Amino acid sequence: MLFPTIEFGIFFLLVFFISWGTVKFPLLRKYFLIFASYFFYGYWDWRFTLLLFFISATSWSFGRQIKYSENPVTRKMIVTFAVFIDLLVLGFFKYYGFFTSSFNNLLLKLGMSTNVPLFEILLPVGISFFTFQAISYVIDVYRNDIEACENLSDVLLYVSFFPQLVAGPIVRASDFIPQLAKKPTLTGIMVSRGFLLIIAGLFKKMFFANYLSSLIVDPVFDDPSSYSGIDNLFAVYGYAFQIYFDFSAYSDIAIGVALLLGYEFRDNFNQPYRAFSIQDFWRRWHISLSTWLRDYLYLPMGGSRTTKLKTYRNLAITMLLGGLWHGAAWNFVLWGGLHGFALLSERAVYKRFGIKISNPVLKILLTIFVFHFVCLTWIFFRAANFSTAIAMISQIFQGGINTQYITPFLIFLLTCGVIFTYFPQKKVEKAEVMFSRLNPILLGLFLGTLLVFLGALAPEGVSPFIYFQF
Amino acid sequence: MPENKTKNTVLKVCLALFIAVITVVLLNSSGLYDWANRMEIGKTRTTFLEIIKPLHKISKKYGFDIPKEKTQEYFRDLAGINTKAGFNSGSQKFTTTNVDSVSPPQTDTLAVTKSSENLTSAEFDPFVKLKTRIYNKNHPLKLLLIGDSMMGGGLGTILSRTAKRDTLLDARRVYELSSGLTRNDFFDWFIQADLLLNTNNYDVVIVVIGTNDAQASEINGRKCPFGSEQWLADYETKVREFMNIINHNAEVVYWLGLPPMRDEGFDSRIKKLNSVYRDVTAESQNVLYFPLDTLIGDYALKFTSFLNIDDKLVKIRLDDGIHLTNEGGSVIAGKLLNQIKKDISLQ
Repeated sequence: MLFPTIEFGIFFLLVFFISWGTVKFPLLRKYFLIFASYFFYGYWDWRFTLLLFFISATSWSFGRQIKYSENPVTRKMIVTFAVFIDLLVLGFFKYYGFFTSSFNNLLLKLGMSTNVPLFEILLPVGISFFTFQAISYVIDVYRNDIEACENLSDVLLYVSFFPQLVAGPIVRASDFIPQLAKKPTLTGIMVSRGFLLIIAGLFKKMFFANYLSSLIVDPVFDDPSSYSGIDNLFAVYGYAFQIYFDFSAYSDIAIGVALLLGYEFRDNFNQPYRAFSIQDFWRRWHISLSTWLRDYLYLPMGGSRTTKLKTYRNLAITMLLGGLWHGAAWNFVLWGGLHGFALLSERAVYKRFGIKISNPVLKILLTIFVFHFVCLTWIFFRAANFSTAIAMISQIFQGGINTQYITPFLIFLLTCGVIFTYFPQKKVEKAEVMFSRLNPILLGLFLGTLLVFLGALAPEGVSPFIYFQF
Repeated sequence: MPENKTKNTVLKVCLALFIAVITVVLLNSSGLYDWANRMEIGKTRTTFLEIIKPLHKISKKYGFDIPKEKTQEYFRDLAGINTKAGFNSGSQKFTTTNVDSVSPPQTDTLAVTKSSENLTSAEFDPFVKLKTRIYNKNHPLKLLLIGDSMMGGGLGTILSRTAKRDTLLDARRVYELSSGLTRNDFFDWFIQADLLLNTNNYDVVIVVIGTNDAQASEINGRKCPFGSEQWLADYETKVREFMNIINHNAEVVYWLGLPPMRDEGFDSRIKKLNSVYRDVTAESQNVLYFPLDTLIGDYALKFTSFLNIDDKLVKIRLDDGIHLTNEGGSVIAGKLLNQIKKDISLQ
């Protein structure tokens, strides 16, 4: 079930009414939300609801064992085993084909025959997101950041809660589970923020991302060598904004829907193309993943509180695995590797020369440079294979200004991308306050009209969110 | 009292949502009607249609739909775009050279039902007109590639890319995601194909369609389950009608069979569709059935995600177990285009 569909609209209305109707019966409400979340997930393929249940139930069980174990060595063994199980599931479903085909190809290259079987494995939607949440739960329990849940229902709901289930944000156990213990509340500002996020998300996805995708990104990335340098360049800019609109739209809608049900998630994006360094970019892009990787991978390896060489190693491993998290393909590893290399080069240069950026002109120049570096890495992220990515880069550098795709409408879409990047946050907050003062009839009319307006402007049909594949 | 505040807020949101729903229903009843109409044939669809139909009538009668329609019209004109997502009617003219494909095209293993090399002198040669024409850079063989998401994905992408890198070929690709021949209410291929082929002349049309057709259909207002006798008879008629539209306006048609699917149930449905295509195309002399399972199936012609191509395991299918990757498309495109060239003696 995709967010921008009538099916989801009907589903959400039912969930909203029933969940608030049962607010006086917390256990019933919890069970209902679990049922709704499993229904939402089972809409794709009901068989994977069993996997979702397995991941949640094992995490809950390991959490309890950690809680009741006083021996630090046993606790460590349990958490290691729990993380191992989660990674095994993730590895089997997502990476088995990738690793076996890579291994077989290596053997074939060495002239050796190979018999490692290639199974046909179906990739469960959102597996990378919910396994990471399950890992977050057992580690948080191990670190005593949260108390292990006595009721299975808490972990079931935490892992499967439908707004963030298939494409994030990756919600921390320590952020979400304590909210389940409290009676949910709904304030005017939560409502106005929730609705604004949903509307913004729908516009970002249905209008901006879908048009950018169909008007330039898909055709040019399909066959870059058939188009001029300028078309290729604009396709890369288009993809940079498409992926931002697409992914941040999902996060916006997820956060908005959760807010309307009385739960708060942290922000997942903070105008990432404003970043004036790669480190800054990762503080603004997919924040829930970058902080997850920082807290559960980079810091446990020693982070930056170790030797210079080990710090670089930690950074490189974190970014390579971060790349691989996105997909079982070498292009994602390369994408992560490029970001890792940039991060450690940046760190080395800034430390070596003690650079601190305060000059506004330099900041602007660095922002432009960082944006273009990120765009360069997006080419490897989006291209079907390495040779297509290289063809695209070579076309851009060969130049050529004959365009087949640059139209005033495309320029308008890209300009809106820039405006979104620099739109002042204070104005958003002001709008939230203003919106919260609307009376329900005006609010309803406003929402309804906006939805109709969006329906008139958006292309027909629904395309899935890019991050669904991860 | 926070509890009372929450209760008041929830009630306000309920009222706002109610007003929003009414607004959407009144101002966009045609959109809702189309949505319900496109649902899978069954009770849910019938129920939704029964609810929406009277609302749609009221909305039409009082012109509530007009603001949306006018906005849409104005926006389309202003932006100069076709607002149908995924419908690619790119009319690109391709002149670049070089052929790219994972494996060099070999034609000896293909199981095309008719081919110029198999014909005896007494038989009708569907390629005869094409063989007498001279094709060169200025007068390339005109190809039309049409179909559903199979044509929109790796297969179509590589077919059109390979064709456009060949100076003797001029390809145009037109596809519509989620479309098929069973549900004209979603996308009417009969009208679209007629329009496409009446406005332009093509020498060869390549069709791949049917991925979305393995579903129940509505015949005389009643649900007809997939695979039943009535369903198959109706589908055969539709395929024949569609084939005739294309056939009438093109010299030769290559109808591609659907590839094997990962899900066994779905695969057995697809096999039924393939046998319909095979039977119907056999009725016409200039329509050739081109099976894909021999090219991208495993040794038993079943689904496989990887193929060993030139001593390298290559992923040929997407993770959905349905569509092809570009590499999978390359396997087919090279062989198909080579077959076409061979059939019409194009050097």
